[in-house]
Amino acid sequence: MELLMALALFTVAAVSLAGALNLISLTVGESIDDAEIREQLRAAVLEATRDPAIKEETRETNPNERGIYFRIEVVRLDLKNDQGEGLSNLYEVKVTAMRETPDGRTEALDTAMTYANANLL
Amino acid sequence: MPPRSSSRKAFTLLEMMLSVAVFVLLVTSAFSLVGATSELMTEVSEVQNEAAQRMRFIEVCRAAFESMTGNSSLEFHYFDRSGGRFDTYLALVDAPDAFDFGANTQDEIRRVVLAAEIQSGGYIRTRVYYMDDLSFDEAKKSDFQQHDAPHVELIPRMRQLSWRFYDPLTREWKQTLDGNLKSNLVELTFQIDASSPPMRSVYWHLNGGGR
Repeated sequence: MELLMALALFTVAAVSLAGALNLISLTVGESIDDAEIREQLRAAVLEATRDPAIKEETRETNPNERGIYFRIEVVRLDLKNDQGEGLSNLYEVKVTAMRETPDGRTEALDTAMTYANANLL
Repeated sequence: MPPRSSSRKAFTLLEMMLSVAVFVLLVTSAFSLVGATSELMTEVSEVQNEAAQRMRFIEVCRAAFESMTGNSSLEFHYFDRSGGRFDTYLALVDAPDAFDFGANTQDEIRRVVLAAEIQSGGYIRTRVYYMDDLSFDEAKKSDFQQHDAPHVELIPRMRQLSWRFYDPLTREWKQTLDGNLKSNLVELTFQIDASSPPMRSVYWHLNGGGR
């Protein structure tokens, strides 16, 4: 009985340790993936906002090796101040990182949004 | 002499053998567990290191492009080394703070050149060369194969590195900076190790040259 209990304790400890290590490695992998997605989002936002020929559009990039692609939505804003003067050439740029799951669903991983003025740069 | 007690307690041979077997089992399991743990931690550490290296490289490049002023410009040179594999040289002209690791201290240095050079085994070595006009002209004459410009090595072994330049007129990315392309967006795609996918990054910079 004592022997069995000792073995059971050891097994529980070993399984817990393996589980904890697996969780650590998964967390590290996810944080690296997140950092890479943020960098891709930054690149896509920069590409869309610094384009002198910015225009209203919605487009998607090709999926990368991990099946992640980016939807870039550029919407022209029609804003006016209290005096009724229009703020021309202002665009809202929204980039969403998307991924197709193995069961066919599409999930949004992260989003970045900013405003861009076509005549600013 | 006292008589030997026949009721004296002791382990039987079976119990001893069982104990030894369990002990061996536990020790073996412990060792294999420690080995597997160590291996996993080494792999995690390698992955983390490579990710950190990728991010550092991107940040160093971003800082360099952001340091360009209205007087700065870009030049791009490439040379076929072996069967379609190119050495590429992206020169940041009149950008004195670009890739400033303390090596770019001379006033006459006008070009900071980010070089991606094919090495034996197909790997790419990335270096930053600091060149004045004279050393740049001499290097260009020899297709960048004979020069002794001061340099800083960024990443000694890389699988892939390529540049593209955004053409705002056609809204396309171009492989070269030929003609009168005035590009303010630069795309870098690189892969340090085969186990990780290529990484894409985009930089914006001021461009006074308009090559």
